[in-house]
Amino acid sequence: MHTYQLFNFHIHTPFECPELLEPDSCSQYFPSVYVSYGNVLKNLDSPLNMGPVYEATNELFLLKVGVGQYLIRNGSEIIIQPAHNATEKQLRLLLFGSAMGALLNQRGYFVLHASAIATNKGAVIVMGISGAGKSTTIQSFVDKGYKQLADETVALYYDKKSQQVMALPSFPSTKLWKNSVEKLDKDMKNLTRVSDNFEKFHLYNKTNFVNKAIPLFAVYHLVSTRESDELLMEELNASEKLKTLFDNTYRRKYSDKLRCKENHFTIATRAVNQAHIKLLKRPDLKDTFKELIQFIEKDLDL
Amino acid sequence: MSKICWLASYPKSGNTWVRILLSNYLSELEHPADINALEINAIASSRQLFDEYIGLSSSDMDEDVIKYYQPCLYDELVRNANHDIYMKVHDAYIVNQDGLPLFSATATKNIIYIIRNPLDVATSFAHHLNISLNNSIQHMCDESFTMAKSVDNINNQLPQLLLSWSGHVQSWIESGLKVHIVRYEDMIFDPKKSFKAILEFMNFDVNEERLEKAISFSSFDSLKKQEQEKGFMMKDPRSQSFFRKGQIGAYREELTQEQIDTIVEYHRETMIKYGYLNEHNQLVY
Repeated sequence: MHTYQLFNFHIHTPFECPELLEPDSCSQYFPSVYVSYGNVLKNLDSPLNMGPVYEATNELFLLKVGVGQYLIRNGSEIIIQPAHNATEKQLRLLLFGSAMGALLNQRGYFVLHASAIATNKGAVIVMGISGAGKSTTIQSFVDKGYKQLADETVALYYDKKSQQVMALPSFPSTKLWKNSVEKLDKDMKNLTRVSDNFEKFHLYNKTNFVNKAIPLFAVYHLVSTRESDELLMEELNASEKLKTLFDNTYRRKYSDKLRCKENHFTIATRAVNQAHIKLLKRPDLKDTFKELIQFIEKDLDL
Repeated sequence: MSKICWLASYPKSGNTWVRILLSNYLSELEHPADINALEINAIASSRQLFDEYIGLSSSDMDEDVIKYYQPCLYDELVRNANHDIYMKVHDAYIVNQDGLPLFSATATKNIIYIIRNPLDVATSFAHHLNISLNNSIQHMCDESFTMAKSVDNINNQLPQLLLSWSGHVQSWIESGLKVHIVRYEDMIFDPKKSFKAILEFMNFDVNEERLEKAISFSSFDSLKKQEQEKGFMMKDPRSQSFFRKGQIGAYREELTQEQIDTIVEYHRETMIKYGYLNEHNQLVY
């Protein structure tokens, strides 16, 4: 059994996970999530929500994909029944993607499809669809000296004690396509492939990573556009802010008809009151990442 | 039960024009519909749509895996819809590795297939992708040509296997589904007749006044003006403009005789079948 620290729990896995961090001394009282191999139900009884690859109740989430079946239970356990030809790398990709998204929902978090850095003012989040440029933006910030907080998923929760929406740390790496790696002038030899079938890589930032929850400060909805050759920032009104958060929910349909949707609404509403939330448009195919981070720095007075 | 009406075509064949016409007809506005906010805006190859409705990240999948899930995507869209969906599609009508068609009969209501002279497609496609005419012609004669292939970067569209131009036409026409074929050239010559036939095929009650207004709001000049004023989201960033000429036979100013011969040689049978070559093997346009 291997133990790592992820979000705000310890995760115990039957295989090594080089993409994760070992637990630090501040995490000794963190709850545990157990990942194990086992036989998994083919279907759930009376699911409340169903999609092409999943079934869900408030307590159980069954993910049925080519590499295997994943049963996520009560936010504390993931059982994997691998397909006979599945590799550990393939299993981890699904485990730390869709399966983890479902587990975070069960734990009551509001999860955004986003990446984030930690600043002295709080978490600055960049959210958007795949290909919007989230990871490249965050890596550009890290290269400039900022610390990474999350990539791919950012889990938010409301901390009653401090009365603030907090952002949890996730993976201490960015996932970048080859052309982004080249743009950022990184040496490909030191990188690990996400999959053997395409040119996408993990770029580890384990020493440039903040491994604790921090208050939410700003959220940018990053959109790649053909409208203009320039970076454009747009203000949003309160209802547009709320909508943009929901539009960028990680695996949005997973939570349909489930109780966790109420948590999402509560956290999102508080996030709208607490954080700067704006729309940021960058020109498609034009490399503007250096200007983009200067744009954000200036906007937030970082 | 809601289903999908596919607006299928090889790229640069007038698909966007049909969507704009339909959007103008359905929206009943007193001014031309905004080309960047069309009522009919969905495209089958949208990565965002795939990720949301399948519930997995397509950027972590190779092409075969994406195609494995694609039939489920359209079935899922239909399952969640409370009205028919009009959806643009450039993929050829193909089956995935499990032998399932990407666009299942259960998800499909009908198909409008838009066909255009491959000689004009070749020049328009070259401008659209900002590639040479020879490259464009090569793609149109390649049975394995895939558009938006993600190798070292991510595209906001899923990879789309087009086959050759003839292969594309044949794949949809012989899909066994209910298909209405529209020639781009007929839409130019007599838009009212062509568009009325589309509406009737789709079982709409045809209102002549609305039809004429939709046609005038969708004129080439009106679309080009909108693009010049506000840009167009469908324009490939590498190309100068989306609405370029739209004319019949514009290829004559751009293609060499050798390039024309290459296209005619490869696509002769389909060109004869759809009236682009006559019985004497002469070009009609």
